[in-house]
Amino acid sequence: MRKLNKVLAAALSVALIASACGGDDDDSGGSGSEASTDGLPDLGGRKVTVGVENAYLPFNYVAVGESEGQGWDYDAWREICRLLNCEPEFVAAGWPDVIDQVAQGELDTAADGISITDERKEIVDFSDAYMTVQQKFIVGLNDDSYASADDIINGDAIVATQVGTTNFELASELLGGDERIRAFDQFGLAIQALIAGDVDAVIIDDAAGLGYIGENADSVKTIDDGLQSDPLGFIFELGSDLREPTNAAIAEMRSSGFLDQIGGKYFGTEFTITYDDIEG
Amino acid sequence: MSASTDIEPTNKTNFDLKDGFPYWLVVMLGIIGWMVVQIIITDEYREAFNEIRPGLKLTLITTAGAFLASMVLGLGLGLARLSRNRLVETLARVYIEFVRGMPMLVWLFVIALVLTVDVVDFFNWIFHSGVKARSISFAWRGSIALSLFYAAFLAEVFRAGIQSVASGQKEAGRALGLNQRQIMAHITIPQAFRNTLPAIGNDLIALMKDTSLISIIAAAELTYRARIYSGSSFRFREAFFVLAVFYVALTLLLSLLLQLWEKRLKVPGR
Repeated sequence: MRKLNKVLAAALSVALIASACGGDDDDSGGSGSEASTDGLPDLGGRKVTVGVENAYLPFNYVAVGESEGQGWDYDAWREICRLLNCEPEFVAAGWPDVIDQVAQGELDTAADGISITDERKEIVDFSDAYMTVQQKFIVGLNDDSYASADDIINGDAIVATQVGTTNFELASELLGGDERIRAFDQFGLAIQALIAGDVDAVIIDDAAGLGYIGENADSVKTIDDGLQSDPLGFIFELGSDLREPTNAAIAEMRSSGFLDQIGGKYFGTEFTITYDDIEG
Repeated sequence: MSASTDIEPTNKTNFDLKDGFPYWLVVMLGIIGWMVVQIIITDEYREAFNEIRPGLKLTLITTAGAFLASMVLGLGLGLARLSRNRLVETLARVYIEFVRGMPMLVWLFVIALVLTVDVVDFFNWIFHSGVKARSISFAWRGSIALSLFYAAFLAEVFRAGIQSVASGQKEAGRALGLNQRQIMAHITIPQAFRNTLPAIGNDLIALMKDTSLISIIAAAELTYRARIYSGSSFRFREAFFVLAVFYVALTLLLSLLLQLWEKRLKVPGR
């Protein structure tokens, strides 16, 4: 099937070039991108290295008893590469250093629920947003001292988060400096600190937070107030030729319902894996 | 010729001039000086320096506090290792072997995330009190973990140091009418301390460098500050160059101070 597509794609592109009389000024896909039958660029089977943290539920994680990573990012990139004819290679990388690795061209892209911000746009290119998340506070289930986000912001609550995240940036803004913030290396440690009572709240994207507050979560709850909405995207080296094809694939996944499907799978109520079930 | 100074291979910087002119030191100071110039003349490096510098206080406090605590604990453990009481000796041995058998990072997780909470619960259960684990900050837990970890290494250093003191010294003490305790306090330990100073210095420098690990549990020392800064600004190059120079400069400084101290304690002719 793929072979047939390729033959057709080649034939079609020859026809296109012939009809355009060499006036091909659309370089959106960069080198090697050809139109395939379904209108998506063809990456010719090339390998795409995807940086993942394997510690950001439910985007990427390693489940107990498993050796391979899995999650929303894995499903999404397998589908992107199915559409674009490429081969994803998932590479474990630390956060936030993975941003620098992509900026330096060590990795082709990274998927880690990365918020699109102007500061980050200065060193990496972003794909179109594939979802939008709300930042929220998580507190202990039996902790009634905080009914709203304001109670946390205006009190003397200690707030945990992860280093180098937009959650950290927003917390610094809301709490007026980082005196009351504990930024851990991974979100798992921040959640652990909350459960152990070492901090009063965790600030996290609701999508990732949902990964924790599955039906197994008998110790934490979300404060409903949305603090800030962040669009999420994949990152590429500045000027990467993968950006436009990836955007085309994201549009295709949206219209085909694939994004809704994996959204339901990982962010729906049936998703019950918690941080207790992952290694990392 | 005493074997005591070779208890552990020392990776401590040696300033001895008898090996000829220290060209390496000139090169190192040149690199550090170049970084200092960068910090002064470029906005990026100055910003990185200013963001990381507040962490110096916690790095120094943690190093000093954990080192003093591990010296005291290490001496106790080292003496316990030499105890004629088999139970005491065995308990000390088990502790030392356990701790030395794991990486500092693992020990840090064990102490900071698990044992601190367990010990507080146990304390509350015994005394029916309501102490909360959170009143022990992560910086404290990191310092405790470092103290307990390096105590095990220093215990072995002290043990070897005490054993290295020639038996004739103890016999002389006995001939002077001193009892066991007096011999230990006035004859054996002072000599053992001098013999082991290079090894102790080595552990002090290793401990200082290991304070960087507590950044992982959100203790705001130098490495944590650099991680926060680089994560927000994406100036990884500036952040980690400046951070590296902080540690190299601290190591050089500690080596120099230790060298001077060793010279002061040196017995002429040995």
